[in-house]
Amino acid sequence: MGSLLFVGSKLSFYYFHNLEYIEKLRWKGLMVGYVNYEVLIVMEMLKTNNEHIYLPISAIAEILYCPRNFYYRVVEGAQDLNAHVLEGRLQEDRRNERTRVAREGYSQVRSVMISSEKLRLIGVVDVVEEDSEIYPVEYKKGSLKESLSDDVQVCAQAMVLEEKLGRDINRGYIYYVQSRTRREVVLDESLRSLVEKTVNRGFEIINSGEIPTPAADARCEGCALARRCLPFEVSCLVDESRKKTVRPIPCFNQGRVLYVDEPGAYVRKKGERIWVTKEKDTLIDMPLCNLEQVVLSGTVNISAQLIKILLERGTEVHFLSRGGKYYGCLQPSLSKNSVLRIAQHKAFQSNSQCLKYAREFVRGKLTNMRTLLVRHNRTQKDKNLLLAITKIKSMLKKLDDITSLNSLLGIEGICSKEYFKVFNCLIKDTVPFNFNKRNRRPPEDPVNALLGYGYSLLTKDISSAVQVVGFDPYIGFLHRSNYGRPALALDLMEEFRPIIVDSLVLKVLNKGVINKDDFECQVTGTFLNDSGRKKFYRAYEERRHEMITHPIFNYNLPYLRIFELQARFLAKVLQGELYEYKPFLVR
Amino acid sequence: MKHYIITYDISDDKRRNKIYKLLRDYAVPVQYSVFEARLKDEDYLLLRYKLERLMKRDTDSIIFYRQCIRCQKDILRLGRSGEPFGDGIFIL
Repeated sequence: MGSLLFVGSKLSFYYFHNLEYIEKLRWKGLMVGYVNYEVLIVMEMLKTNNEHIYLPISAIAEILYCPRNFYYRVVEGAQDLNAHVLEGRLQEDRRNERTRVAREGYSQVRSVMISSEKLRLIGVVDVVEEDSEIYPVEYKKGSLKESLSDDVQVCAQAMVLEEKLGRDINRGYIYYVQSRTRREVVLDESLRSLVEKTVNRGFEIINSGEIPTPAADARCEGCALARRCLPFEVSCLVDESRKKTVRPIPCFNQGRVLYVDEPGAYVRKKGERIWVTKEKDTLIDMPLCNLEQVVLSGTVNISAQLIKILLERGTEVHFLSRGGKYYGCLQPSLSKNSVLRIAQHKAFQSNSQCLKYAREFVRGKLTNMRTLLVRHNRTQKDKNLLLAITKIKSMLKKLDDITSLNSLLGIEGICSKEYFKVFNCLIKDTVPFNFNKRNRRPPEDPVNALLGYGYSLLTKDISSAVQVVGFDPYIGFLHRSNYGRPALALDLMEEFRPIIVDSLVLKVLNKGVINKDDFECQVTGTFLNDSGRKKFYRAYEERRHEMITHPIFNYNLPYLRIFELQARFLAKVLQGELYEYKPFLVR
Repeated sequence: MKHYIITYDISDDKRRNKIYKLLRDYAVPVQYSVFEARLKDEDYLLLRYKLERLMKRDTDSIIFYRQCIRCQKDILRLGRSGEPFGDGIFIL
């Protein structure tokens, strides 16, 4: 049982430090779907019986530094990586390749794997050195500093070594790579008891299943988990007085997005690059690094080798039809965050919980619809618009008294009807387009074609946000999971429909970006043609990258980050860390 | 994301070929033995690591020039040369 947990969780990273091995292991995780299922079972069993669970020694050191970090790494199996973590791993790899012994007169063994049954610890000692006595040496990336958590790590290593070798170890060393200095750590009784205390604390965190509170201070700078943990945001939501301390996570990367909408194109791998050809012409030959998303529309071929490497890197691949149907995406192995999925399923089972979340999704959608109308009404001052705005507002007040999902859907239906009734007023008279009513499958007029295509593109982004966070996308609260649709993605999407897609459609129409020539009318319906689709992709991506001030935290970030942020907040609500889900409302 | 100009000077043909191929996975060749790239910190570290493993320190030389955003705007490209991939979207 213990070993299963290792395969499925972060522990494997502590266990096998070799980079190539990690790659292989990650790939194994992709193919062997059941590994995650086993972890799910293991997690449930943890509560009653955790005899066989071993904690990684490096995780023990993290408890003292930040218990939340320990929770994410061990319980949720977070594998988040940033430049700091990567550099540490690369340094270790370089060390292991060295054959020369750094200190003459000493015998050195590198990367020794050890485990202890008494302490229930497992880990790798960077170097075990022996002269007259034997002692562990731990390598740290930074420069010389006094750090209790480092001391505890060395002490834990020494204690495990003692148990294995049956010899006393009185000291250990920490080598700081940047300053090239060693620091001696004396392993006295107080340090040893601290190790035992910390190990116990680790098991307490695992058993209670409660997420420790975020540090939200200087420690969070440069932490690889900040994106998942959201330390400043969470502490702001829990405690209003800390509002001023919220800072955006520094320099997240907005990767590249590649749309391939060229019938007969072949997308393949060349070295570590993505290479798109059509017949004998090269369309693009681009490095894979920093590629965030690949969207394939229509009949485009993709090679198995490329699929493999994209899955490995976690790059999303989405498939759309030329008519605007969202087929789905290639999904890397299920996220290791089984705790979240259990919470999600539990919430799904309870009607009151479902209603609670569904109400917020609808509230988000209706409020943003109203905001869109209000914005346009500022210049237009139309009687019908005003009527629709007041109607939606009165309906919004009723939301809190709703007791069933059906009446909630009723309210949503009424408001959407009102909204789309006046939608035509928002399109300028000078533009040759008209909107009568919302229709789809297939859309009958150009405006509906655009709306439908836009919603498909939005589905793609929300479902990837949902998957990145680790949800089960098919279990939703507002949309029931009857038709095999990504129900949770559709739920979270509601609040973004008016502000992302509807306003974008109005923008491209009113500004003349897309005109009559960009559509083709067929017997069955109206569709965007090649040039129209390409224009719309560009407009949509620009919207997605548009910077917006967050209404609660007051920092700037692009919409694409907001999708993920909302999904993360929903996760934190489900896991009991935050009290209520707040939809994203624009001003 | 940081902008780099990478130049190399490698004596051995076989090794140069290997390094050229590796660089192509991260950067765009703009001239003979000159590459340009926009790299995340992680990719930069990985590229550096892989290069260190391929090159021979006593005979070869590889230089990374990092450019700040301001200086990037001042780059002047005359005539035929490649250009690195920017951010944002690519539509085919």
